[in-house]
Amino acid sequence: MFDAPRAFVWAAWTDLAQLPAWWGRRGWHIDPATLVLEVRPGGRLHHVSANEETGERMTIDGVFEEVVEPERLSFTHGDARSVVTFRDLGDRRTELVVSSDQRMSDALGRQATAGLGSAFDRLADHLQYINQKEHA
Amino acid sequence: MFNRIVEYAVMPDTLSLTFAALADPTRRAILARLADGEVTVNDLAEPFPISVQAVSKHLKVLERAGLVTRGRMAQLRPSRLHGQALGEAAAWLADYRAFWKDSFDRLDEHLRAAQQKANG
Repeated sequence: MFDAPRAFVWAAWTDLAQLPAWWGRRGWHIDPATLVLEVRPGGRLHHVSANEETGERMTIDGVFEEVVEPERLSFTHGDARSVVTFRDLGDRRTELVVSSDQRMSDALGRQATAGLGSAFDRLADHLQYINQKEHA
Repeated sequence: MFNRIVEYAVMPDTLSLTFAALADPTRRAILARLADGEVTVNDLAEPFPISVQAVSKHLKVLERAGLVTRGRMAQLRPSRLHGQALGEAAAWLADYRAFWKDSFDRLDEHLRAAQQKANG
Protein backbone atom coordinates (compact mmCIF):
# COMPACT_ATOMS: atom_id res chain seq x y z
CA MET A 1 0.00 0.00 0.00
CA PHE A 2 1.33 3.39 -0.97
CA ASP A 3 0.27 6.80 0.28
CA ALA A 4 -0.07 8.21 -3.20
CA PRO A 5 -2.84 8.53 -5.80
CA ARG A 6 -2.93 5.77 -8.38
CA ALA A 7 -1.88 8.12 -11.20
CA PHE A 8 1.37 8.84 -9.32
CA VAL A 9 2.14 5.16 -8.84
CA TRP A 10 1.39 4.45 -12.49
CA ALA A 11 3.69 7.29 -13.53
CA ALA A 12 6.49 5.94 -11.32
CA TRP A 13 6.36 2.71 -13.35
CA THR A 14 5.92 4.19 -16.79
CA ASP A 15 7.91 7.42 -16.82
CA LEU A 16 11.51 7.19 -18.07
CA ALA A 17 12.62 9.78 -15.54
CA GLN A 18 11.02 8.00 -12.58
CA LEU A 19 11.65 4.27 -12.97
CA PRO A 20 15.40 4.52 -12.25
CA ALA A 21 14.64 6.41 -9.04
CA TRP A 22 13.32 3.32 -7.28
CA TRP A 23 13.84 0.11 -9.29
CA GLY A 24 15.94 -2.62 -7.71
CA ARG A 25 17.89 -3.54 -4.61
CA ARG A 26 19.50 -0.76 -2.65
CA GLY A 27 22.99 -0.16 -3.96
CA TRP A 28 21.94 -0.94 -7.52
CA HIS A 29 21.31 1.77 -10.08
CA ILE A 30 19.87 1.67 -13.57
CA ASP A 31 22.20 3.20 -16.14
CA PRO A 32 19.85 5.79 -17.69
CA ALA A 33 21.61 5.51 -21.06
CA THR A 34 20.48 1.87 -21.33
CA LEU A 35 16.86 2.46 -20.41
CA VAL A 36 14.17 1.66 -22.96
CA LEU A 37 10.60 1.97 -21.72
CA GLU A 38 8.04 1.60 -24.49
CA VAL A 39 4.81 1.40 -22.55
CA ARG A 40 2.50 -0.20 -25.08
CA PRO A 41 1.68 -3.81 -25.95
CA GLY A 42 4.71 -5.23 -27.76
CA GLY A 43 6.96 -2.39 -26.52
CA ARG A 44 10.30 -3.08 -24.87
CA LEU A 45 11.28 -2.83 -21.23
CA HIS A 46 15.05 -2.84 -21.17
CA HIS A 47 17.76 -1.62 -18.87
CA VAL A 48 21.12 -2.45 -17.42
CA SER A 49 21.72 -1.80 -13.75
CA ALA A 50 24.99 -1.85 -11.88
CA ASN A 51 25.96 -2.48 -8.28
CA GLU A 52 27.76 0.64 -7.11
CA GLU A 53 30.19 -1.33 -4.90
CA THR A 54 31.05 -4.41 -6.91
CA GLY A 55 30.41 -3.06 -10.41
CA GLU A 56 28.39 -6.18 -11.11
CA ARG A 57 25.90 -5.54 -13.91
CA MET A 58 22.52 -7.00 -14.64
CA THR A 59 20.28 -6.72 -17.63
CA ILE A 60 16.57 -6.88 -17.84
CA ASP A 61 15.10 -7.38 -21.27
CA GLY A 62 11.35 -7.68 -21.44
CA VAL A 63 8.37 -7.02 -23.65
CA PHE A 64 5.14 -5.41 -22.49
CA GLU A 65 2.04 -7.51 -23.08
CA GLU A 66 -0.84 -5.63 -21.47
CA VAL A 67 -0.91 -1.92 -20.83
CA VAL A 68 -4.21 -0.87 -19.27
CA GLU A 69 -3.69 2.60 -17.83
CA PRO A 70 -3.95 3.08 -14.88
CA GLU A 71 -4.82 -0.42 -13.67
CA ARG A 72 -2.62 -3.10 -15.06
CA LEU A 73 0.72 -3.79 -16.70
CA SER A 74 2.18 -7.09 -17.69
CA PHE A 75 5.46 -8.00 -19.32
CA THR A 76 7.42 -11.08 -20.20
CA HIS A 77 11.13 -11.46 -19.47
CA GLY A 78 12.97 -14.65 -20.27
CA ASP A 79 10.58 -17.51 -19.53
CA ALA A 80 8.79 -15.53 -16.86
CA ARG A 81 5.84 -13.18 -16.93
CA SER A 82 5.09 -10.45 -14.42
CA VAL A 83 1.77 -8.79 -13.83
CA VAL A 84 1.49 -5.49 -11.98
CA THR A 85 -1.90 -4.30 -10.76
CA PHE A 86 -2.62 -0.84 -9.40
CA ARG A 87 -5.73 -0.62 -7.21
CA ASP A 88 -7.19 2.71 -6.16
CA LEU A 89 -8.03 2.49 -2.45
CA GLY A 90 -9.40 6.03 -2.33
CA ASP A 91 -8.07 8.71 -0.01
CA ARG A 92 -4.94 9.06 -2.16
CA ARG A 93 -3.84 5.53 -1.42
CA THR A 94 -2.90 2.81 -3.91
CA GLU A 95 -2.38 -0.90 -3.58
CA LEU A 96 0.27 -2.37 -5.83
CA VAL A 97 0.55 -6.09 -6.49
CA VAL A 98 3.36 -7.63 -8.49
CA SER A 99 3.10 -11.28 -9.35
CA SER A 100 5.47 -13.30 -11.47
CA ASP A 101 5.22 -16.75 -12.84
CA GLN A 102 7.65 -18.94 -14.58
CA ARG A 103 6.18 -20.34 -17.73
CA MET A 104 6.36 -24.06 -18.27
CA SER A 105 10.01 -24.36 -19.06
CA ASP A 106 11.51 -26.44 -21.83
CA ALA A 107 12.70 -28.89 -19.21
CA LEU A 108 9.18 -29.44 -17.91
CA GLY A 109 7.78 -29.61 -21.42
CA ARG A 110 10.30 -32.29 -22.31
CA GLN A 111 9.45 -34.14 -19.13
CA ALA A 112 5.75 -34.11 -20.00
CA THR A 113 6.55 -35.34 -23.51
CA ALA A 114 8.85 -38.01 -22.09
CA GLY A 115 6.02 -39.15 -19.82
CA LEU A 116 3.75 -39.54 -22.79
CA GLY A 117 6.55 -41.30 -24.68
CA SER A 118 7.04 -43.87 -21.95
CA ALA A 119 3.30 -44.56 -21.89
CA PHE A 120 3.52 -45.40 -25.58
CA ASP A 121 6.64 -47.48 -24.91
CA ARG A 122 4.69 -49.50 -22.38
CA LEU A 123 1.84 -49.92 -24.83
CA ALA A 124 4.33 -51.12 -27.43
CA ASP A 125 5.81 -53.61 -24.91
CA HIS A 126 2.32 -54.80 -24.11
CA LEU A 127 1.44 -55.35 -27.76
CA GLN A 128 4.71 -57.15 -28.30
CA TYR A 129 3.95 -59.36 -25.32
CA ILE A 130 0.49 -60.21 -26.70
CA ASN A 131 2.08 -60.96 -30.05
CA GLN A 132 4.60 -63.31 -28.51
CA LYS A 133 1.88 -65.06 -26.60
CA GLU A 134 -0.11 -65.60 -29.74
CA HIS A 135 2.94 -66.98 -31.48
CA ALA A 136 3.79 -69.25 -28.60
CA MET B 1 18.42 -9.27 -8.89
CA PHE B 2 15.33 -9.08 -11.02
CA ASN B 3 17.54 -10.15 -13.88
CA ARG B 4 18.80 -13.00 -11.82
CA ILE B 5 15.21 -14.18 -12.14
CA VAL B 6 15.68 -13.93 -15.87
CA GLU B 7 18.92 -15.89 -15.69
CA TYR B 8 17.25 -18.57 -13.63
CA ALA B 9 14.36 -18.62 -16.05
CA VAL B 10 16.59 -19.44 -18.99
CA MET B 11 18.84 -21.83 -17.07
CA PRO B 12 18.18 -25.49 -17.90
CA ASP B 13 16.04 -25.60 -15.30
CA THR B 14 16.30 -27.31 -11.96
CA LEU B 15 14.49 -24.50 -10.26
CA SER B 16 11.34 -24.99 -12.37
CA LEU B 17 11.46 -28.70 -11.59
CA THR B 18 11.85 -27.93 -7.90
CA PHE B 19 8.92 -25.54 -7.79
CA ALA B 20 6.74 -27.85 -9.89
CA ALA B 21 7.58 -30.68 -7.50
CA LEU B 22 6.71 -28.51 -4.50
CA ALA B 23 3.39 -27.46 -6.02
CA ASP B 24 1.59 -30.50 -4.64
CA PRO B 25 0.37 -30.97 -1.06
CA THR B 26 1.06 -34.72 -0.96
CA ARG B 27 4.63 -34.21 -2.11
CA ARG B 28 5.14 -31.47 0.48
CA ALA B 29 3.77 -33.84 3.13
CA ILE B 30 6.21 -36.52 1.93
CA LEU B 31 9.09 -34.03 2.23
CA ALA B 32 7.95 -33.07 5.72
CA ARG B 33 7.95 -36.74 6.69
CA LEU B 34 11.44 -37.24 5.23
CA ALA B 35 12.70 -34.29 7.23
CA ASP B 36 12.60 -36.65 10.24
CA GLY B 37 14.90 -39.13 8.50
CA GLU B 38 15.14 -41.89 5.93
CA VAL B 39 11.90 -43.81 5.22
CA THR B 40 10.99 -46.70 2.89
CA VAL B 41 8.22 -46.33 0.32
CA ASN B 42 5.89 -48.64 2.24
CA ASP B 43 6.32 -46.75 5.50
CA LEU B 44 6.00 -43.50 3.61
CA ALA B 45 2.70 -44.56 2.02
CA GLU B 46 1.14 -45.61 5.31
CA PRO B 47 -0.23 -42.26 6.57
CA PHE B 48 -1.52 -41.26 3.12
CA PRO B 49 -4.88 -42.33 1.68
CA ILE B 50 -3.15 -43.32 -1.57
CA SER B 51 -1.45 -46.43 -2.92
CA VAL B 52 2.22 -47.30 -2.62
CA GLN B 53 2.42 -46.90 -6.41
CA ALA B 54 1.07 -43.36 -6.18
CA VAL B 55 3.63 -42.51 -3.47
CA SER B 56 6.29 -44.06 -5.66
CA LYS B 57 5.26 -41.76 -8.50
CA HIS B 58 5.46 -38.72 -6.24
CA LEU B 59 8.91 -39.84 -5.10
CA LYS B 60 10.03 -40.02 -8.69
CA VAL B 61 8.98 -36.41 -9.25
CA LEU B 62 10.77 -35.35 -6.07
CA GLU B 63 13.85 -37.31 -7.11
CA ARG B 64 13.95 -35.73 -10.56
CA ALA B 65 13.74 -32.31 -8.93
CA GLY B 66 16.76 -33.19 -6.79
CA LEU B 67 14.74 -32.90 -3.58
CA VAL B 68 15.04 -36.52 -2.61
CA THR B 69 17.65 -39.24 -3.03
CA ARG B 70 16.93 -42.95 -2.84
CA GLY B 71 18.89 -45.92 -1.66
CA ARG B 72 19.53 -48.99 -3.79
CA MET B 73 18.25 -51.74 -1.51
CA ALA B 74 16.00 -53.41 -4.11
CA GLN B 75 12.39 -53.29 -2.93
CA LEU B 76 12.86 -51.08 0.09
CA ARG B 77 14.64 -48.18 -1.60
CA PRO B 78 14.62 -45.88 1.41
CA SER B 79 14.17 -42.21 0.53
CA ARG B 80 16.02 -39.34 2.07
CA LEU B 81 15.67 -35.62 1.87
CA HIS B 82 18.32 -33.90 -0.24
CA GLY B 83 18.77 -30.37 1.00
CA GLN B 84 20.49 -28.64 -1.87
CA ALA B 85 17.56 -28.18 -4.28
CA LEU B 86 15.36 -26.97 -1.46
CA GLY B 87 18.11 -24.56 -0.45
CA GLU B 88 18.34 -23.20 -3.99
CA ALA B 89 14.58 -22.72 -4.15
CA ALA B 90 14.65 -20.92 -0.80
CA ALA B 91 17.56 -18.72 -1.94
CA TRP B 92 15.68 -17.81 -5.10
CA LEU B 93 12.61 -16.85 -3.07
CA ALA B 94 14.73 -14.82 -0.66
CA ASP B 95 16.35 -12.96 -3.57
CA TYR B 96 12.99 -12.32 -5.16
CA ARG B 97 11.53 -11.08 -1.90
CA ALA B 98 14.52 -8.83 -1.17
CA PHE B 99 14.34 -7.35 -4.66
CA TRP B 100 10.72 -6.31 -4.28
CA LYS B 101 11.05 -5.25 -0.65
CA ASP B 102 13.87 -2.84 -1.51
CA SER B 103 12.11 -1.66 -4.67
CA PHE B 104 8.85 -1.00 -2.83
CA ASP B 105 10.66 0.84 -0.02
CA ARG B 106 12.42 2.99 -2.59
CA LEU B 107 9.18 3.51 -4.50
CA ASP B 108 7.50 4.67 -1.29
CA GLU B 109 10.26 7.23 -0.72
CA HIS B 110 10.11 8.30 -4.34
CA LEU B 111 6.32 8.77 -4.26
CA ARG B 112 6.52 10.87 -1.11
CA ALA B 113 9.09 13.13 -2.74
CA ALA B 114 7.10 13.30 -5.99
CA GLN B 115 3.95 14.36 -4.12
CA GLN B 116 5.77 16.99 -2.09
CA LYS B 117 7.15 18.40 -5.30
CA ALA B 118 3.68 18.39 -6.90
CA ASN B 119 2.10 20.07 -3.88
CA GLY B 120 4.86 22.53 -3.18
